[in-house]
Formats: sequence, structure tokens, C-alpha cells
Amino acid sequence: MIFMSYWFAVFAASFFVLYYCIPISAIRKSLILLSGLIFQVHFAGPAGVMPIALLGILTYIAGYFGSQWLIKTAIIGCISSLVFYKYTIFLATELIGIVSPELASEAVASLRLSFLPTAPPLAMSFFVFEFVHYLVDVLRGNKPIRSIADFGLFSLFWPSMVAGPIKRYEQFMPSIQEGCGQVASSDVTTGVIRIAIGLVKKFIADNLTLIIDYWVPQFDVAPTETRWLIFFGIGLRILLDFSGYSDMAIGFARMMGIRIPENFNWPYLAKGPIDFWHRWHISLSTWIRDYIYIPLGGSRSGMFRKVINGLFAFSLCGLWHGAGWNFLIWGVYHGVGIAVNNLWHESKANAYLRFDRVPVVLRSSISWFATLMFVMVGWLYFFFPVSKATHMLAVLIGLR
Amino acid sequence: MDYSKYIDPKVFLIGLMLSFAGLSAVGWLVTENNIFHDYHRSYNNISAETQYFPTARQLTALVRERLSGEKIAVVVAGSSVMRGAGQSKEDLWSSYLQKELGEKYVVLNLALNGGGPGGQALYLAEYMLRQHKKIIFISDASLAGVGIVQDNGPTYRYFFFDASERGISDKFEERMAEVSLRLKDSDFERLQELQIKSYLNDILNYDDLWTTVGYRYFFTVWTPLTAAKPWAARNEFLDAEPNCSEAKRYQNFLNEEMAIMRGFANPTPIPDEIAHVISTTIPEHVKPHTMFVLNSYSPFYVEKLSAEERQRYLSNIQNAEEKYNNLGIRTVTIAHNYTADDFCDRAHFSYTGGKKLAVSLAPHIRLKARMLGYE
Repeated sequence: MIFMSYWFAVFAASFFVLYYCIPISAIRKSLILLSGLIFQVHFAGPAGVMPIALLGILTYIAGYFGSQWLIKTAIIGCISSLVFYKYTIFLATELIGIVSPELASEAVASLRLSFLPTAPPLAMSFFVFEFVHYLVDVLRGNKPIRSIADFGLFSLFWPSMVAGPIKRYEQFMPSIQEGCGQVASSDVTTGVIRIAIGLVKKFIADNLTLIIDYWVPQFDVAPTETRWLIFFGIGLRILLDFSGYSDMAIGFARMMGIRIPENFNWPYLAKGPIDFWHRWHISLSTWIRDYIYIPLGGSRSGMFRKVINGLFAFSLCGLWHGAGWNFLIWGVYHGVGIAVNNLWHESKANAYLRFDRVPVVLRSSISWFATLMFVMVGWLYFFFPVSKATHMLAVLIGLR
Repeated sequence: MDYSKYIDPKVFLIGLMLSFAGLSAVGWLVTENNIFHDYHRSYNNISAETQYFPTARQLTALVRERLSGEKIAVVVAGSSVMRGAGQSKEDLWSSYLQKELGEKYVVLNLALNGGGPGGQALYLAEYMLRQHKKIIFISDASLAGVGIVQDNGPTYRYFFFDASERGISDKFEERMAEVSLRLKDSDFERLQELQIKSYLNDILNYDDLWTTVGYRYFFTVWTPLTAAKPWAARNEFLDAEPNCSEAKRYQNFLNEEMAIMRGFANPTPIPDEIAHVISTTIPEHVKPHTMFVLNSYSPFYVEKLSAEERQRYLSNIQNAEEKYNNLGIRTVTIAHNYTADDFCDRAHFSYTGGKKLAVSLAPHIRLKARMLGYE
């Protein structure tokens, strides 16, 4: 994990010493930009930086000139690049593989040899989402970022570069202006504490990873209570790992006096799948809502379209996380959960079942527990191949 | 959330910096004295195998405590064979060696599972030589010349950089260059991380503090081997390795072990590059203090070789001994006449074999001491 490396510790310490010693806004901005470039080159390598740089330049130019066809071309370019780097192997294997597995293997080997890197450029998904958000908002009439340096600041902001939160330029640019102008000691304090919280979460998550990695291969023969602990441990691990990272990203930004969006809000206290997605990876769920769900029509065309739009949006959300059937299934699973949640609210079943007569505390508890179990089962499909996840679930509930 | 509502930011930040500096000082102080009071050998729970990484300063403190006055230190390096795998702490061969050698000597068993001559024992021997102590450095060595690595391999590599940065190992440019070159090709990021880590730790002493807290108070990393008490202090885990079971010896892996034996029974001369490996692992001035021990394997397997294979195997041992001696490392062959009961498996000695090893080695060590003018 990038924030836990010694190189990063030296990088961050050097950065902040310079940042605090030079209280000149323009120089601070240059420092952020330069450090972002160094960060990306170090962790992604020059080969990993090139595609991002090209997409960034394309996005900036398209936004600067503002013509519709240029912006749309840039959007297509960004999405196509993401599909190319992240999904080519998956598509080649799964589509060609249906016809001929041998041909699929040859195609994959050939692609890897010729022009496909072994892994997509670092943080490709996050870069593309930020670029697409920028382009769509400019297309909708928002003012573009005129200064290429400012655009660079938006793109290469190292605290959130690798794993979010996904920024919105309309909030970020004023925040960076303010932060570079003046950093209060309260910002530094809050930032440091936030980083410390993130570190504690990461420490717990890393230990959970060791425990989970040890027990999962023995899941079938583990004691029942251990299986259930591992089941919940998987869900706890991803929360602590991801929210811990976000805490550190937000903390580092805050130490610069810059505020970036919150990404988690006690998601395991959610009382329904809709509520869960208002609390989990908030910057992603709002992006999906604003740039996929609402453009598709959202909830404006009746319940059926609402459900279909939701399913489609969450399928893409699932695939965004990784190129694999399990990710797609996880996305669809949550899409179905959202659909059921919506239907429950809007149908007459609620009144028919007299659920409103159930004491609030009991109703809340049932909603909370059902949501928690729903989310935990989903994590099995997120982390494991479909057959393995299903098997683990069956073992857990005693069917095998 | 704005935490400055609850804490005065300036006080917090000053306190943070002072605490950081204070902890750094504590890390330095706690490694001035030895914490491994009951040390006989390295074992799982105080080694990298369970995510516990004794630091160079900690082991230096151990060595300083054990080696007082004019005693001759016998520093034992090498693999699990020399560590005494298969022997209980009470029947450890190096403890028998101590009894054989008497009070003029101090035996320090610093061998590690999967280790070799290059590693923590060697760097500590270098340190003690610079302190003008009397040192004899012994290690097992392989017939095929493998297992000699400047930094003792990936598991223990951290110690190489730690000892180097701390000035505990000798400033040996060729050795550092070899390790850096190898890692530059295979794992540059890891090389960079190790270099930065050891540099920072030299200034901040946080690894020293963490491993001391981990040994004395509580540990912070879960491992399968310590799963019963994952957060317990490591000093709660004693060296409870038992003597290997007589009933279970030689029960498994016969085919695999015989394949290895046949490999050693083929002409497998030690490669010529071994000269370069040894010259970039053991500093020139340490070689006169060094002795390699070539251990013959269990007769349980040797006797299963054909007469011709057995002859070649014995010839290989002789050739290896000659080759190491020609490279300036005094080498002796041990365990020729041991029985199958003296081994737990192909290579590791049982407690009876360990006793015999101690008895066999003691005269060679005394001879070495006389050659070095220590006696």
C-alpha cells in the first residue's frame, strides 16, 4: 500500500517541510504539481504516466476549447482507454473463449507480448472518472479550468491520486486556492489525527488480511464460529482498508489546508441498500448517480426504467472495480438490492404487512441487520470467484 | 470533523513532535542492553519466520553481554543444521560444545533456518573483531557451494541493511555492490525500501523500539504460528522445540530425499564462481577466523546409494573440502561415522548426533584458536 512505504514517508515529510516553509500560494501550487508528478512517475513508472498524461492533455484541450464534438471525442477517448487497459484481456478471454479457449489463450499471450502492459496504468480508473466528470460538467455549461497548471493540480493531486476520493473540480479548485493561501494549525492538527486514524485502520485491516488468508483455504474444515468470524472479517477488512486509505488521503490534503470529499459515513450502520450506498465510497456512488444513472433517465420514467437504470449503473459500478464476472455479479447484486429497496418503499407491501406498526427500534434493528447481511454476502462475490463464493456461502449456512 | 475544537492545535503539534523525538530516544536506549536474557539459539518466535525482526543493535547488545573479558567467542552461523533443528534447547549441540570447550570460550549460536555463512552471525563477528575480541566464526557449508549469499537471502536481508547502516558490519563495498546489483535487477523497489528503512531506522530507532515492545509487552502482527496468542509478548513464547521423534524419523519423502542424495552423488563440483561469492561475502581479514563444517548426511540414505554412487558422494565431499580450503576457508568434514540414529532426517542431527557434533568440532576449534594465537 503506497502510503505505507518508506519512500512515501520520506516523500511526504520532504513535501510538508517545503510546503510549510514557503507560505507563497503560487509556489505551493507548483510544489503540489511537481510532487504529484514525482509521485506518479515513481509508482507508475514512465510507461504508466504516458497514457494518463495523454488523456489529461486531451481532456484539458477539449475543456479549454469547449466544442461539443471535441469534448465528446475526449470522453470517448477516456472511456476507450480505460476499457482497453483494464478489460481487453477479460473480454478476449471471455468472448473468444466461448468459441475457442485455445484461441483465447493465444490472443491473450499475443496481446501481452505486443502492446498490453501486465497491469493498467496506476489509478487509471480514478483518473478517467475525474476526467469524464470534468468533461461532462464543462459540456453542461460549467466553466472549464483555463490554466493548464490548475488543471494539472486537479489531475495530479497526490493524496487522492491512487484510490480517491474522486474529486469534483468545482469544489476542489476553490479549496486548493484557499489551502495554498493559508494553512491553519487546526488544519494540520485535524489532518494529522485523520492520518493517525487511517493508520490504525490499516494496521487492523492488514492483520485481518493475514487471518483471512490463513483461514479461507481451510474454510470447509474450520469450526463454525471461525467461519462466521471470517465471513464478517472479510467485510470489516475492506471497510477498514479502504476507509483507512481515504482517511489518510483526506488527512494529507487537510494538512495542506485543502478539503476533499468524505468517502465513508459509517456504512455498516446502513438500514437499506440505498442507505448503504449513501455511506459507502460516497465519491463513487455520487459519480455513478450523476454521470450514469441520471443521464440514463434516473427515476424520471417510472419504476421499471428506474430499476433498469439502477441495474445498469451498478453493473458498471461492479465492473469498474475489476475485470471479472464476480465484480459484475457483485454490481448486479447491489443493483437488485437497490431495486428491491425502491420497490419496498413505493409498493403497498409495507402497509399491507403493517410493518409501520412494528416498534421503531425493532424495525430499525431488522433493517440494519438485513442490510448488514446483504452487504457481507456481497463481499464474498466481490473477493472470490463466483463458484467459490457460492460454495463458501453454502458451507456457512450448513448446506454443504 | 474539526478536531481542533477539542485540542489546542499548537499544543498538539508540539506534543507530537516531542513525543516522536522522545520515542526515538527510547528506541535507542532500550537497545543499549540485551533483552534476550535466556538466549540459546534463534527460534521461530524471535525470528523473521513469525514477523519478528531482531535488529542489529539488539543482537549487538546480546553479544556484548555474553562476551566479556578475554573469552574466545565461537560464533555459529549457518542453516537449520547448525541452529539445532530437531534438538531441544536442553539438548542443543552448541550447549554441548560450550561444555566441551569450557570457560575460556563462549559459544554464540546465531544460525538461522535457511541461513548460510553470510548473515547476522558474520556481521556480528565483524563487529566483535573490530572491538579486538577473540573470534572463531564457524558455519556449515554445502557440498554444491549453494546457500552462500552475501545478505543471507530475502527473509533475513533486512538485517544486512540494518547492520550496514548502523556500522555494525564491516564497510565492505564489494559485498554491498553485489547485493545492490542483484536486487537492482530483480526487485529494485524492495532495494530502495530496505535502504530507506535502514537509513531512517538508524536515525529514529523505531524498529528497535517496536521489536523491544514486541518482545517484552505485546506484539502487533498476527501470524499462523502464534495464532494461539497473537498479541502476546514474544518472551512468552519459549524455545519449546522438542527432540525429534525417533518413531517418526525417515517416515516421509524417501523418494525425494534419495533424489537429492543422487544429485550429490553425481559429479557436482563446486562452481568456480564460488570463489567470487566467498570473496564478496566474507571479508579477507575474517577468513583466517573462519571455519566451514561439511556435514556428511545420514547413513540411512547414504547406504541406499549404490556402491558407485556412494564412492562418488564421498569423493564429492572430499573435493568440496579441498576446494573450500584452497579458497582460504579452513574446512572440516564431520559425521562420517555417525549412525542413522544420530540424524532426524537426511541432514539435521538428533540430540545424540548433536552431542557427537560438539565432541567432533571441539578439537578443531581449539586448533583454530591456537593457530590464531588465542591459546
